[in-house]
Amino acid sequence: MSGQGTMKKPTVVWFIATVLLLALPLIPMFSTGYYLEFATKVLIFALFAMSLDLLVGCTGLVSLGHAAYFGIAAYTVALTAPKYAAANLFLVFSSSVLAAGLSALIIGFFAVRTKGIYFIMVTLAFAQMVYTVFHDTKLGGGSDGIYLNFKPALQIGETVLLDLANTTHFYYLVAACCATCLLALRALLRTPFGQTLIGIKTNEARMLSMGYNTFRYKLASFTLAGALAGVAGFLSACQFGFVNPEMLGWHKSGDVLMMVILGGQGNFVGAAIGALVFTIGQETLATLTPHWPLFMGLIIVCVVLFLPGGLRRIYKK
Amino acid sequence: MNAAAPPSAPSPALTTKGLSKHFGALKANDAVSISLCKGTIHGLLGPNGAGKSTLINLLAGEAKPTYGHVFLHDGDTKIDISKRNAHQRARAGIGRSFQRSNLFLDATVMENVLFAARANHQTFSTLFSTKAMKVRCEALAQSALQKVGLTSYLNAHTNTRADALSHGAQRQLEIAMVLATNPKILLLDEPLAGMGTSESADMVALLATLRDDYAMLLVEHDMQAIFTLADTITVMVEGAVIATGNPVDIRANSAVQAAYLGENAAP
Repeated sequence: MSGQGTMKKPTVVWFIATVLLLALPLIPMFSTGYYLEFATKVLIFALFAMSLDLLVGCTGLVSLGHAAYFGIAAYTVALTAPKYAAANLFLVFSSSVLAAGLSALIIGFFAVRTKGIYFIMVTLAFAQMVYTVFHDTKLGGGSDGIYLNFKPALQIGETVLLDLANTTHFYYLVAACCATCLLALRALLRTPFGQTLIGIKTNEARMLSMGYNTFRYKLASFTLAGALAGVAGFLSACQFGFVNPEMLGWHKSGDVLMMVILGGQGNFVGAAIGALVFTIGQETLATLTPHWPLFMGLIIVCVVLFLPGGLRRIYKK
Repeated sequence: MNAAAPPSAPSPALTTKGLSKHFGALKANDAVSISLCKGTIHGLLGPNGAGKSTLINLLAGEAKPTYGHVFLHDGDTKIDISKRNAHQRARAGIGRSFQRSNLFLDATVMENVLFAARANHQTFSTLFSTKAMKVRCEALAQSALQKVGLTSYLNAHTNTRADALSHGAQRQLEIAMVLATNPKILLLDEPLAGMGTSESADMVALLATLRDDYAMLLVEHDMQAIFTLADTITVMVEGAVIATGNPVDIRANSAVQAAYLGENAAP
């Protein structure tokens, strides 16, 4: 009779999260150029992975089409930004996140009616449909994608408050989005809404028999996860200055799912750790061999076999 | 079956008419008509495969009937709920327990009951605020735990997890979760399953205390418990009702003796 409820926050995870969050503002002081851009890329993927963790780790919905919302937001940036001037950051950010969220709402309306392997297949099928809309089409900019000639900026009159072409400005924007997302999602898990999502993941039949309309909760989670993936997609488009169909392909969906599995599901810190390790691993291995996915696969197999809770469980070993 | 009931008999809370569930040629439930009344315990007997759990699933909305109807009664009003989903029926006042304890094992006892208590009170405005519902739901949860005798877990800060409970206590918690949803009708699927003599006696006493406040359908293999508790007993064989009546009549029913109870169970 001495068990403790696991819905309480684990102290070690909070410690890691606090250290990571405190370290974020310091990175531009010690690194510039490639390393700062790399740190920015890691944070964007951390945000993307956290959004998927809301579905996989908290709601029990394993999506293999999450890149669709990442890509839709990225393409919205490219398609709505003016060609010869910097876009209004606020407008382009809102429209891209709204596009991703709305797409998730529509696709989720059909997808969350299915379960297990069917859910995986339906999300993959929808994502491939979206991919087809942008792949090698006029809308998607042909096989090259679309270039963003001017990065969005936030300015009042002539005063530029935030210029995304400035790597330090951009890093701080990404870090702020990532930290806000982490804290907000962690807080969300403690609300009745978040607890209901965990209940659905653990035992949906029981939740239904108690009177919970699980469809609505799953759809809300799917939409929110899609919108957050949209934030990551918006930031990714702004970082690299171009978008291409691969951003919404199933490879990208597989990558982000691997990040969540690698780091550990259900508390968002694991997803962020997974994004960090996956991106570093990808970057390092790719310089050594063109067959880097083989080695990345081996790493993931080892983690699944020896650390079933993901890398965030390493402290328990 | 209630056609001959005296005028003072309790009014029905839930009735079925010709309820059937067919899987191809297999008739898991075939034209089942029963009536559950407030203040009574309706026992449901039958050998394995008789269709008892299927009937509970049909009543709780977890399975859709091939034919037939389920009606919910509110005074003189009779509502056909046959097409409603499980969560809609739960919100309409039908609470069910499961044959095997179906708990959130890694959550605390209080968290389990709070989950249930929140189910009918959670609205969009309280989705993100724990404070708004806290007092109301904690009171419901504590009342449910008190009713089933799990009084050591009344404090919201007691961190005992559900998987740390004994089997008997898990069955009590299962009932507490049903009660916390504030139901009018209880569908209890083998609440005594796997219990020892002492735990069974406690559960029988608990079910007896719930009689007055609910209309209860009790599926149970423990004959002694059913004949002790039930006001009315329905016996099913191969998906069909072969007899319904009070315990004395059921004991004396030759069809029941032949089909299910056997010679030793006859008085």
